[in-house]
Amino acid sequence: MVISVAASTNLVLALSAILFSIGVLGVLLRRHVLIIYMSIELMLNAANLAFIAFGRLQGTIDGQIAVFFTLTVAAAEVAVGLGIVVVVYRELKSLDIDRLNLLKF
Amino acid sequence: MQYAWLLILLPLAMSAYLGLRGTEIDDDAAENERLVGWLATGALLASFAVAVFAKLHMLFLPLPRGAERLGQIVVEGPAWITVGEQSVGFNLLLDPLSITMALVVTGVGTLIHWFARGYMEGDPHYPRFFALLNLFVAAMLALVLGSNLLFTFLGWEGVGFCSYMLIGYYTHKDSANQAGKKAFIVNRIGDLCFLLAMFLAWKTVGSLEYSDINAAAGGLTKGIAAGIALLLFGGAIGKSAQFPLYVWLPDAMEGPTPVSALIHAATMVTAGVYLVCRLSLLFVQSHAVMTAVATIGLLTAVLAALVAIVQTDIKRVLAYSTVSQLGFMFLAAGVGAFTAAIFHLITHAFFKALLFLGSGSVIHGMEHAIHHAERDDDPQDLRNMGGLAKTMPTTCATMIIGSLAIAGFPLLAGFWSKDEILHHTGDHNMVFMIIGLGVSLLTAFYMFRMIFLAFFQEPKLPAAVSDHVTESSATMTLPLTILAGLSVVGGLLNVPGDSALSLLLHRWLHSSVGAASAIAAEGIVATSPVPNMIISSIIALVGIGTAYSMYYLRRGQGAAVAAKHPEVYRTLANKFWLDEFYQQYIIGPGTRFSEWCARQFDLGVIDAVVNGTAAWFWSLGERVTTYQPGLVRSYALWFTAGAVGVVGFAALAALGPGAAVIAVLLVLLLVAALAYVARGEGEA
Amino acid sequence: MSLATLIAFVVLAVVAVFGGFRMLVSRHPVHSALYLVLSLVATAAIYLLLAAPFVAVVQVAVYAGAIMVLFVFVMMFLNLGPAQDVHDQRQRRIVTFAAAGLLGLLIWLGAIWRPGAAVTVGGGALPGYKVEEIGVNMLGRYALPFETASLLLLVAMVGVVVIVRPLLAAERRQAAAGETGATTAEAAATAAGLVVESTEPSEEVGH
Repeated sequence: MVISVAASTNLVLALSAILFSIGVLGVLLRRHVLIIYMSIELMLNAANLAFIAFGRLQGTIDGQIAVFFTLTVAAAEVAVGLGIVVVVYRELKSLDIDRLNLLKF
Repeated sequence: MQYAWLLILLPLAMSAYLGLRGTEIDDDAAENERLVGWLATGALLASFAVAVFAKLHMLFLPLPRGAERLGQIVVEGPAWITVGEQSVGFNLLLDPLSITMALVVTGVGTLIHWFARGYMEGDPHYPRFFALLNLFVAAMLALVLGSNLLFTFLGWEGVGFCSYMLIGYYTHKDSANQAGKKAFIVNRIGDLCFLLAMFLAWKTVGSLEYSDINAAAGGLTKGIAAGIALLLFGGAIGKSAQFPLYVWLPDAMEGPTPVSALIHAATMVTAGVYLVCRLSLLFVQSHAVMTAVATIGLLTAVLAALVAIVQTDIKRVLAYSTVSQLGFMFLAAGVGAFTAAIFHLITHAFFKALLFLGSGSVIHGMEHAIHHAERDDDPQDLRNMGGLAKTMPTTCATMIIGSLAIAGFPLLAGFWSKDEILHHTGDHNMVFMIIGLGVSLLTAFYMFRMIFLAFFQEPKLPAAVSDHVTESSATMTLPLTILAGLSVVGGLLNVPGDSALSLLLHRWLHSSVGAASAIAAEGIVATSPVPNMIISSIIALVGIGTAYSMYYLRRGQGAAVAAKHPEVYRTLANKFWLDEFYQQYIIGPGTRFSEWCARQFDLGVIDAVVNGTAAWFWSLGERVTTYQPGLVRSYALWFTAGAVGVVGFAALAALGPGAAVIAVLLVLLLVAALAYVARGEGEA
Repeated sequence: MSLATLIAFVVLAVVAVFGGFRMLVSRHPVHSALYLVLSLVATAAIYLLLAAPFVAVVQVAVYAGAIMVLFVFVMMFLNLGPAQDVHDQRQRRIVTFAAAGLLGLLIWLGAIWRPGAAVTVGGGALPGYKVEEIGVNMLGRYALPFETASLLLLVAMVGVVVIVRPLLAAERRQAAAGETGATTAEAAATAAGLVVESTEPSEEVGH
């Protein structure tokens, strides 16, 4: 039994959508800043998966190259984000994102 | 003749300098005053020299290039407003009329500045006074020399502003502030007419240049020409204090006396006469307008002369006298005797400036004496004076000369000019002339009533005051003497007759107003002025004699006459209730209407709309802040809803319109649920 | 895709979803991090199945390796305990799940919907695929984005140094002065910040 490239791509995309949704849920439900960051990583990862799947479907390596740039952005984002986390923790002694609420009316 | 700009720029620059230079705290006050006074007077003197030079230039030099006709030169300045082809610029018009006015303004102005140096001595705001005085002269010169209505209007408003500032110069006096406001507001009525006249002239003639309007006047429809002329005359009524707008001038006496002399006697108030003469060709187009001008002038002359009889404030007597004499000038203009109007304007500038400065000298002396005796009598009240002839001989002598001149005593300045007016009036309309002679009688009477009350009756105040009245300093008496001399010989400018020296002014002004005078004089048979002169002389002497008998020989007779006719006296003392009339029927309803607007419309509509809008946005903001709790996750949820909307629409739109609708509905549902959940999230 | 590959894919997909889910629900951030590593490694394996071996290696090395190590390092550095997650309102949870689920569903729908011949479908695995091809493309066609990315990394690096450096003595005084009269919570936070800083080396080293 051989599954067509298109059909298998659909499967991969389904996995990508599921992982992305889990990431969204993590951002929306968790209060811990670090876990929110990890959820963001998961969402980026899901996007990477979709890139790979489409690249394979089209028979080019452009999708794979896009993944490298995503990785770069993710690495930069994590570095800056974790820096901010450290500073926030210094100030608040807590990483509860609901306590970062000074910017309201 | 570009140097003519110096006329305006010299006092203007000096005004700016005096106004801005400021004073060091540790400056010697007297030293500072001397400097300021000399600078201001010097600027005017220089300006006067320029005017004299310009006059000589025009008289003796060959016609320069750019002259349109003999004796008329337009000095082009920068353009001010350019509309299409037309342009209104800062152009100077130099012709006999404007140069004559400039000579009067700068000449008399210099003398008054000179006098003010002594009069204002010790005033805490000395530089401000002279800065404003110089600014006034600059504006007046702009008014006179401007070659178009707009430039003149600039000066017109400028002198109005300076008048306002100087009437209210004693800012600590409420009455002075009120008087300044009154003068300004009453003049606005006239200024509105002036503006309308400009609009009409622009629309019909297409230009605001005097030369264009005068040239086009003959070709205009009678109605249009009369309209422009009447509106301009409306402006003149305001500025020159004619009936029914003269009410501001007597109140303007709240200003320092040199201001009254310069602005409210010699120069600014004559602007209306000047304007009528400037556009004489326009005015003579309509007989009705000319009659209106003459009638208003005569009416004003009569009313003001009657009121002047019963005034007790020395400056108010002179103020009503000024109104009355201005009425004479308009009467002259109204009968087409433009030269006579200007002639009287010049002689009046001499003797009225003299009289005002003399009264200033009297007030100055009285004030010091009263201050010395530590009393608080009114130094301007005639009833407090008397016997000043002994203590202030120079002032007394010059004042008498001025009064003789204005009364029309033979061979003095006023005699010639007033006689010329009455003579021309008589050629036109006998009734007007007879009334005019009556006014002459009144003039002689009230002037000498003032003289006898102030100088010759016995002192009314205790000796502590009257013995301490001293003659004013030479700074103040020198201008008086010069002006007295001018009041004596001023009439020689335009002596009737055929000799080489007679009718100098008439010939000089011929190029400016001659054409209009000729039109006005059509069909009039010129008579000899000699009978008129004899009658006027007699009348002047009768007036003076009556005053002599009522206020010197049998004093108290004046009061007896007043007591016998209380209604007449009250009517005159209350100036025919003109102020009360305005208060009752114009200011009162106006105030009530304004108050109603302020209460009902401003608060009820304007404020309500503005505040209501603000309140609505406020409450909207209050409601919206609920959805800004400051929680990042809450924002992220909204963000997700948006993402669902975009992705959902893109995904389902590919399936067809129905699916797209479903996507939109889904998103709306999601947003509604979110809004429900987010209520009051931030308050926890 | 053969049946064996399919089975492998399904297994790996289940592992990846399981890892993601456990990351989502774990109390302790360290546990979350470890489950995320599991999910990432499973994804890397899927990359292998999808003919992207180089990406798979990079994924393990950079993502599961470097980035996650950074996470764990921060946790150790800050000495974090379990998260004190308070549960949200029930309604809010429902809406959140609905939004996230809907988003995933719609993304999938949008992704698989390829009407007609708009997309050229290549034949299975990439023919003649070589790792060096990635390098050639990266420094050839994609040279500009590549350099931009390097610049981004540089900026991020400098940014982090600036963000995390301890305050200068002057700035600290200023901050303390500015906060006098602030709420007690903020004052306490400032004080806490100062305590943390005081245990660190001097400012000069921070630069």
